Amino acid sequence: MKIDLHCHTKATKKNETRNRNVTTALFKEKIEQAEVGIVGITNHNCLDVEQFNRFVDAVRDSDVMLWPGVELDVIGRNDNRYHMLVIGSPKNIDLISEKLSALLCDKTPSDFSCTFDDVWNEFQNDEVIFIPHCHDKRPYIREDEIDYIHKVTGEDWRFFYEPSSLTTVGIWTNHGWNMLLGSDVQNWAEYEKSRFSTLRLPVSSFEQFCLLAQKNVPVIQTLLSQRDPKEMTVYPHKDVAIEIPIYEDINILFGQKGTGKTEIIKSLKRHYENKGVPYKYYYASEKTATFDKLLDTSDIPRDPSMFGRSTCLDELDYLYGWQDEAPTPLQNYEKWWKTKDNNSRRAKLAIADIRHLPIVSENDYLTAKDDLEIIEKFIASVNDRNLLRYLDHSEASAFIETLRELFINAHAQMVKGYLSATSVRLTNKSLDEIKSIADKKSDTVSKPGTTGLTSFVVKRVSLAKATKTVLENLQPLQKSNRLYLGTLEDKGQLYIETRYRYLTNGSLTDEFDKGITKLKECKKLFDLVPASLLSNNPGEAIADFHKAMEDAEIKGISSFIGITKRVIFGDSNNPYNPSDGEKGILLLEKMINEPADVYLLDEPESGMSNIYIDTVIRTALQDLAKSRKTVIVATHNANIAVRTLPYSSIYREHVNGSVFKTYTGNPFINELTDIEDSHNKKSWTDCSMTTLEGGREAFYSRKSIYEAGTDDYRS
Amino acid sequence: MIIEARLLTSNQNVDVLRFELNPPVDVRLTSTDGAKDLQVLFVELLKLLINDQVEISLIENPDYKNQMYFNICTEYILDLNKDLAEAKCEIKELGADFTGELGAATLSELAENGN
Repeated sequence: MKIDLHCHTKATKKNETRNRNVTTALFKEKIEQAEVGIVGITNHNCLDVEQFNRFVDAVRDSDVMLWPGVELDVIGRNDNRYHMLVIGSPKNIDLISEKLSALLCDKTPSDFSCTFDDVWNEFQNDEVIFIPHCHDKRPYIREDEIDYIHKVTGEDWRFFYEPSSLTTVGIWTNHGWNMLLGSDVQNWAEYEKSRFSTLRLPVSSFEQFCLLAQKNVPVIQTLLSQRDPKEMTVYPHKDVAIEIPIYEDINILFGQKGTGKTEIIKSLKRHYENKGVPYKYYYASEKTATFDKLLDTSDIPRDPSMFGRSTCLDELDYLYGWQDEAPTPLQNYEKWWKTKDNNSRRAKLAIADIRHLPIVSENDYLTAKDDLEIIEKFIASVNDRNLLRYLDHSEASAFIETLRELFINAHAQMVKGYLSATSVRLTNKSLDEIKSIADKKSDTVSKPGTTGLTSFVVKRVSLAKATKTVLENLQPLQKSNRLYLGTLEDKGQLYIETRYRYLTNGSLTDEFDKGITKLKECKKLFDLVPASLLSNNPGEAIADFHKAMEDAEIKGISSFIGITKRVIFGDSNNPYNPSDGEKGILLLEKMINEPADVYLLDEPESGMSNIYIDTVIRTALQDLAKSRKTVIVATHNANIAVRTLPYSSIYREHVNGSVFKTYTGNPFINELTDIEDSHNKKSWTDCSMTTLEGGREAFYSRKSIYEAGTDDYRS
Repeated sequence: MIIEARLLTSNQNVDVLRFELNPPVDVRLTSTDGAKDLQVLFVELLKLLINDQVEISLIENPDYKNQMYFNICTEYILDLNKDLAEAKCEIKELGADFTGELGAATLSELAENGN
């Protein structure tokens, strides 16, 4: 929920830019465009109740809350002048207005200034919050004034500080101060470009916001429960089960090393897997192996159809079983000649001496059969579609009728081809039978029906046809596709290229799963087959090839397709070998961009720079949380564990020996409670500081060092 | 193309039917290896059939005296010529199916590829 508690709606001071004046319509339009949920109207030394009420009416249907306030000129210790916002509940606008009038007396906004004590005396008993400018946002409050304010008021929850940038917010928040960024709009034409704070727990009123600031447990629990918490049983160690709350938001597992955080993540993974919940996971310790798996080709099918080619299984079967048709021996003619006059009645049986009918090839039949299969599939797919989306009734009918005729004619052609080829084969077989019977009865030998040349030629031509098909399907051919992998900020977009290519001289060993040496041997032997087609014994070359294929356990020629996967830059073909850290970055980006309901991450910070963790990972995790995804992270990184403001923090503590404790809580109540003893509580801040920052002393030492380099703040 | 064939008695005193190819192919009439000889002959005829019509003509050899073999070979070559005509049709039909315009040259094309 975006919140803007520093919003000007009119120029009240003499030298103030007029671009701060906004009409009701433009105010509504811009607030909606920027998707801001809470707006604190804080003009300089002025609360315009009439305008405020008009704006409230304008946004009444827009799910936007307006809170009344003012930006006061305050004179601090040592005459240091600073600005401080005072904001209250819209329910109390009249009271706030009345008190402001008392404070302002008759001074104009340009002339007014007061001390903090003046403001505090006026508002200390009212439910208002105070937001002084701080750090680099001029005019800002000095540190001694901050100390004074906190000492005098004793109500830290009512104070928020407004720096000028998000970076400062980060540093100050880590120091335990409440920070807010407002638009401080200078020009309403560009309001939506302002930087806003985001409220992690979406409140529904100013009063609820105050309770949240006071870390009111019931209110916080109510707000948290909007993200559907579930008690999950997890296993930090074998046979040890604990229950932890998991929200549809960010859930952080932290604690010392060896306290079972990774095992908890793994047990959650098993749970979601068993439940069929879509999930993604990232284990930093396995990033190299996981990345290598992305480049693994073993599960990729080698499918010739992607080239419009065939596995050639039928052709190879034909080759393996091929045998020459033996010529009819001349001795058979000699036997016929010598016995033809043995029986005078035999001469009358003319049918016994006729030749075989010319062979009719099965080509017509086979072609028509293939065509018919394609036509049938096409008709089936046409039936699944609504032709009327593209054709009118008469066109659709004509199209269907044409398809019907096509089917009938192809079917008739197939039957005709089959009958022709089969009838000749049966006739010739019958002739041989008749001759055989006649020979037995008459003590003669019939004249051979053929010399065998036609069958010999047909077989050789069929062999050539099968060989040519295999040869064509083995020709070198290459295809590749690219899949977006991720972006390395300083290097550009990376893709995974999958390249498919048939065996060539340039092929590499890793491209194949059958062994490139064996494949090359098979290919070499197959290349000898065409040359043998017009030799006396092609069977020898085929047998050598067949044996090599069997030895290599190669069935079809799909094994000759080599597959390579490599990482390349989008604008070139140059391969790139990412470092371990880059592998993590790419895997994380990939995982986060993949759709799922649950995201499990184990030490995502491992091997990555802090700036990347904070600017990319943290932001991405928060975006997932906004989309109501369940994000569970085991981490040692403060930017992830603290700055994401997780709905659930699960702290694992190694007490001694085999004794471990588990605490659950969140940053909003700043408490972690022992799941086995509700009276045993720890400070969320202390645990975070100890575990994630190296302890309070180290944390504040860093703070001093960082601040020593900030001259602006010291001045 | 007409291929001449004639009967003769070889140096090894075997009756052979010689086909005047380049080199000549002898089919031994009285040997069990005659079937092998026929296969060699068929391969050579196939090579010719790819690009040509082929016909065999049996030439009478006045020096060859075995009339029975002459008669047998006359019948055989009669059948062989019928088979050559049929085979040529098969080559045209099957060849055109898978080589397109190259037609019957497929076999020789494949043989060249293999080399």
